[in-house]
Amino acid sequence: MVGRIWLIMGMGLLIFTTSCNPDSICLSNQNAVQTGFYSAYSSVNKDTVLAKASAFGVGLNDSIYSKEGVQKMFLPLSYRHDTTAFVIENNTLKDTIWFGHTKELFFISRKCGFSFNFQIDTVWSTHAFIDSVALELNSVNYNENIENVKIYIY
Amino acid sequence: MKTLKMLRYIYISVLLLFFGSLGKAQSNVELEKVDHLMNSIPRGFTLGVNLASPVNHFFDKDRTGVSFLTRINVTGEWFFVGEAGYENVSFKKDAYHYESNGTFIKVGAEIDLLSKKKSLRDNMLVGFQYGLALQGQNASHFLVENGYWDDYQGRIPSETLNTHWFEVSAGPRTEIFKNFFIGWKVHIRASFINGGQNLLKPYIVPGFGNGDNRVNGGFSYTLEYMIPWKK
Repeated sequence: MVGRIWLIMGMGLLIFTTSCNPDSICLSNQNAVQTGFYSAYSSVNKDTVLAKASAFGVGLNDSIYSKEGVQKMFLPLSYRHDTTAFVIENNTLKDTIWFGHTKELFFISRKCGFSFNFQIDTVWSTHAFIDSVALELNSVNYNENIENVKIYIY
Repeated sequence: MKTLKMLRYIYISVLLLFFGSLGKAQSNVELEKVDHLMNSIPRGFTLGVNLASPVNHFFDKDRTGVSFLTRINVTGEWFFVGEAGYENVSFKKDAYHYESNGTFIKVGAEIDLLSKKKSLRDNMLVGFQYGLALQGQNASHFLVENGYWDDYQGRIPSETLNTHWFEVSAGPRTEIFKNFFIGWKVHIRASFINGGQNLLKPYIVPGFGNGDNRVNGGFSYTLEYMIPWKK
């Protein structure tokens, strides 16, 4: 009798454990460089906001940002090329910023599949309203949320 | 029937305790009765099927497999256990298309914690096993979405993997008809060699479980028929 009770309890437990098998949540847009805007006039890093900023990839028409007030931007890197360029517009001034990078394919999980991690080698820009750029963190990795590049604004 | 046998055993034991001092000749007679009872418990080997893979298929239609096992009653309390089976996986999801075909074998030993009660009809089995799986896998297509620029598409050609693991298991088993046993166990498995793995981790390692993990929990649900060799 005890054996039968054990068996019935077990079957219930087994079905429960089988049906409760959570997998990780898959993240999207993990290929974006995180940039922050800072005042070029301050001797220490001081956040600044672009009041009416737009951004789009060179060669594409779709905007990533469109006339928005931003302190930081997330700029997605290309899988196909080793350099990704964006035009950043603030009011009527336009600058182009380039990111030179390498990428490495990796497997996230059986649910989420594959993704790329990036290493940024170089960053450079034009100087209409951008004073300078500084590469702070080379790696753009899945499930990381750290600022990569500081952009100093006139 | 089992209860009757147990009662007889207890009765004889009590008799021995109370009347053990009455004389050497009588004690010998009672001891022979006890020996006879112990020897009447059948020993043998079982052939069985583990229904864990079919149950998994019920919850996850991408997985197909089954495994067969044997349990050999080496001594009154120790069993040799062996299991062999296969599990295949095939799916086409947005992230990747995947296919895996593999087999596994497990060998080990189990001890019956209820053996002191001299019952083969109810067991509480605790065991330790070594497992080996061989599988071939490939991803005929995978997609990495960019969200802004062009997506990336690629494929992972066929590769052969070998996985080695240890596992501990525990669970009850009972005889529901003559020589026919039904039981379940929980397992904890830890892999120590993941040979042949490159970029793509296996969706399922046959007999081991989720290929994302080095340690997996699992279960088995077994039906066994015993072929006695000694009565």
